[in-house]
Amino acid sequence: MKTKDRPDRKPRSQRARRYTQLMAAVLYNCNFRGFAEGKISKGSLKGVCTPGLNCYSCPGAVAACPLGSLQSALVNARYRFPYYILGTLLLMGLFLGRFICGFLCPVGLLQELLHKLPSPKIRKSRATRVLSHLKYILLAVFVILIPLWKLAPGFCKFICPAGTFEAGLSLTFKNKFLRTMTGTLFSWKVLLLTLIAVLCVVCFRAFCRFLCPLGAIYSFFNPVSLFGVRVDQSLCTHCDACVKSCPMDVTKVRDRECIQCGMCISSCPTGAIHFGVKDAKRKGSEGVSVVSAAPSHEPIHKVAERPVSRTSQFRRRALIITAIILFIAGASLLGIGLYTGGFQDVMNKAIRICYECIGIG
Amino acid sequence: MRKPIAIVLILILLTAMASLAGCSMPGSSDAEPTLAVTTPTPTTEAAVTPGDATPTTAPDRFPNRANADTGNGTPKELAANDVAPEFSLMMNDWATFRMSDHDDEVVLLNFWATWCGPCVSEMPDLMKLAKENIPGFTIRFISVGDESGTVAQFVEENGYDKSLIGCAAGTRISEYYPCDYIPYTVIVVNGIVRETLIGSRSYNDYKSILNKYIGK
Repeated sequence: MKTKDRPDRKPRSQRARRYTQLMAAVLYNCNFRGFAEGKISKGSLKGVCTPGLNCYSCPGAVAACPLGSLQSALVNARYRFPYYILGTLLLMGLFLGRFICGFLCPVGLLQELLHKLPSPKIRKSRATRVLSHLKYILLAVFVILIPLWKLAPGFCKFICPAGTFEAGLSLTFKNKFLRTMTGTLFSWKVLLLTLIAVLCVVCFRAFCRFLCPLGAIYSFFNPVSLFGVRVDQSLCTHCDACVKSCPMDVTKVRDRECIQCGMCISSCPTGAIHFGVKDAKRKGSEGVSVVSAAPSHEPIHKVAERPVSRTSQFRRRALIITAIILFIAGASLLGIGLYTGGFQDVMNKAIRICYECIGIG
Repeated sequence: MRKPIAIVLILILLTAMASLAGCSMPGSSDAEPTLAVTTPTPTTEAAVTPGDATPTTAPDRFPNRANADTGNGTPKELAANDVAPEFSLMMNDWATFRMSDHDDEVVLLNFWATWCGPCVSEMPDLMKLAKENIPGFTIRFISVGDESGTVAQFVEENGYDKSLIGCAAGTRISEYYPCDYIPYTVIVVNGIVRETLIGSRSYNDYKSILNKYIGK
């Protein structure tokens, strides 16, 4: 017999999400001895990138940060093309998209916990929607241009609050010598961390929505990602209850701002939203809202009878072809990267403490 | 039925991640090698490219000296008054640098990587120091985060003296000179470690540090 969630409790999918977030955060940072000794892990897993943002200079981190590895690879791109990290990001984006932000990012979990603190809250608006584009600018300038031109990991060095929190504060707390090396940059990074933390208290996932370049990268894959939130178009009445209930700056389910957390599932009056794997044969169950808008008052049985339009079919096929191309490209890049020593490159960087992550330099 | 499928998928994903994490956890924070290995691992690259070590025997002056070439001795974090571990490394000019050959000198060993901004930024200052040809002073740059080809490209691109720069890939040097932080600089006087320095410094800083040891 199916059990129903109590109204005062979170839906089961949200409780499962919280457990998954916690498990991911612990798994990424399970080198507990490192916290005690103030030393970072040097295990071979440091050549593998975690899906979510997690500083590899954190004493607990057992794997590499994808964003830090990308910047480091771009700094060295004049010597070696970053096949490995690009392939990794492409495949992670293709399989999970921003589902990673919703389920597998420790920084996302921290932001959500901060937002639980009692305070006045800023709700999403046109202004937050505009601000959500800022992360693409940060991606272009601090993650791509500064590493390529100035040969420094710009985001890690000047912005990354994960690096300041996980690596900077924990390592300088344990290491007296490091404390003597901190200066203006460290002060700036701690100030920025504090501001972001305060912003996260009043604004849901403020860093994720406005600043995170990794979220920006994964957002490009949301329309084609193979796993995540799905909308059954045969049931959708386009009432927008999902968009209204979502605290992110989404305009429709699975657009670039959607972190696929599934909070909208319980808000859908027709049960049209669910988690699932992309199924090419399943007509009418499509990840992206593509059918021409029907009036919200249209009866459900009428909506269900609507034929899938040609545009919809064409778009679905285009997305499938794109996904196949991306998969081939990602697998090829990863293969070439592994063959050319990309794994070792990522590990070489990740097993040594990054001054930029700490805020020294 | 859809929620359980999602949860099962998540659990599979996490189990896969957990198994991967489990692979590295036993040696996660202490990747120092086990001492059972007593011979260096020869690599194909070792015979043909700069940056590879040639096994040597321990010198008589320090009979119990740790040796990165043979694997003798316990690799540990270096501190003042430790005997500098023996190693040989082929520099980018194909000449071999052997630590024990410089036991009567002041040696500055700079551990760096091409992707390390502070390392690259302090290199011109250290090169300036090297060009002064101070008697009884030797300086070597040992890359601990790159492949030898990358280091060779870096040296060519910047026009640095090839005889001063080598790559530790394929050797155990970074185990015997453990450096979580780079740039990491070790100052060795007459075979004994006098100072270990973390972080980049200016020409004047290095000069004042070295003045304590050179000619004394």
